[in-house]
Amino acid sequence: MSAVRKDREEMRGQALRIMQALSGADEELLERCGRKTMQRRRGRQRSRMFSGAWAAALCLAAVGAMSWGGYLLIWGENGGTEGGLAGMPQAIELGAAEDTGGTEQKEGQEGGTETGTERETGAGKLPEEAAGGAEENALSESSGDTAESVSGDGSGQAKEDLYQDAQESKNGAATEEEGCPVLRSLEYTEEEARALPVLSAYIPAQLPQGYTFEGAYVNQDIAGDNLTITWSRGMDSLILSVTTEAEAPATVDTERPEIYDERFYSLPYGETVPEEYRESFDNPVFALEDFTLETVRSRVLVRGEGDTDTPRGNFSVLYPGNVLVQFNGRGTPEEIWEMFGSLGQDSR
Amino acid sequence: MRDTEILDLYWKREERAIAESQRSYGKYCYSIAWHILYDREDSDECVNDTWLRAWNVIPPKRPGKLALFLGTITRNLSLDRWKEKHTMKRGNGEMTLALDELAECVPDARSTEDAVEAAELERMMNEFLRTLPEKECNIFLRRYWYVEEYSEIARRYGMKLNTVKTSLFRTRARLRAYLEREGVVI
Repeated sequence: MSAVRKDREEMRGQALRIMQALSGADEELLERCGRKTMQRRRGRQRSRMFSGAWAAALCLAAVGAMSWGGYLLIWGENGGTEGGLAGMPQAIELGAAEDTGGTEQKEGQEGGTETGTERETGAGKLPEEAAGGAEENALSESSGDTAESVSGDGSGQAKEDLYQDAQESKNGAATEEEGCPVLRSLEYTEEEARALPVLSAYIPAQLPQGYTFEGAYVNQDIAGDNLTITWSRGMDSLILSVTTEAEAPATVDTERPEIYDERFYSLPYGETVPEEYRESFDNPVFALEDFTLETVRSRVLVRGEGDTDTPRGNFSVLYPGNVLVQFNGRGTPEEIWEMFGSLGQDSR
Repeated sequence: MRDTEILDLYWKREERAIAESQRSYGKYCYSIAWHILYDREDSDECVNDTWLRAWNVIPPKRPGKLALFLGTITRNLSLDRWKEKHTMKRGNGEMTLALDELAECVPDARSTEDAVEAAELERMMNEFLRTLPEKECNIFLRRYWYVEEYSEIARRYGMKLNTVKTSLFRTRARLRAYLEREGVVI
């Protein structure tokens, strides 16, 4: 055995001791890391932001459950290309308000025998994908996950039908190999995704030029509504992940750009970004009312030598109703801004 | 069946406890074993041994979190099995990669000090984990407790792959610094 190999074996042996020592990790920490989403600190902005949003939601709820058709009509007035960005926040807010007062449709699904098109997204057909649902169920002690979806009624029937068809066809295709549980996710076509209740409102109608749809899926191992949708353009990609959060994540204070603005720092960020800013810097969450073209510019840029000419970046935007839209991809800040401006336009 | 009911079965020495454990936590334990061993047969054996081990220690034990209790047993058994296999040059999979990464955390041996005791190292690791922000701690545990792939962790937390890698890189550096500061010889 060569000296190098012997050294490596020795190092692995020592590393194994560390790994064995980790077996004694506190249950509390292990349980925490088993959750699908992390607890985020509640920012001081949260109360400020949500007092307004909730007040708006309550007012709208008091007016009565708005019909889907009325909702679409309002979208038509506010969310058109002319309304552009000015219409976006209002339109989304109205959508969220309707969710509050709308009709709830629950589809019970047993956690243990949950159905769906099981797609193995990892390194092939390996039993390792058992981790997702098995652990979530094991640690949560819940006997059955209930997938809850909220939908409008009335003139959205066609979309509802499309959604139901997609669900049925996927449920019919459910398989689970013996001993090989897999990641439980439902894959959708773009059309199906755009017919999903609630979250389809957060799929942009307008994308940076040249992008084509690649895939959309709903992860059934996550308790809340969620949808991840991707587009690609050659080597460029765009990923939007929409989730409903049980608790509002902390949003960044846009008066303190040093905590999220990448233009303040040089690469490698690990050496230049102060430790205390890293969490917000890695994935800042902007409250909808603070979200501007300037914030997009602060996060979407060409980084360092060797990068392509297309700017890239990531950030999240928090919409009323704790709907979090996470962006990761490439495009000019203006294109990304316009894309966010078109959220919901296609749901008419 | 709820944890308390399963535990009652163990305490009553009813063999159904094992079947219920398998039913409730079989997949969970299997996934832990699989990530370490990458071998179906070995993983199955470790899971089966888990029930036996649990049967032998409950009672007198009455774990608070049965899932984690069983998972830890599976993990320990799997690590032992991996070590055994590795000695026989059959080791493979994510575990080797994870170990190579963790090897970065091993501080330089400076003197003739005795290697730190396992229990002490365990205490230190816990102390170290407590110093980490939640996100880093979670990612670290997913990688080095559950031996999950980067992509799985990224998917679980809805993060970029590179963010996961960067986080782990930083945490490993911190762990090494921490162990060095504590004068640990492994």
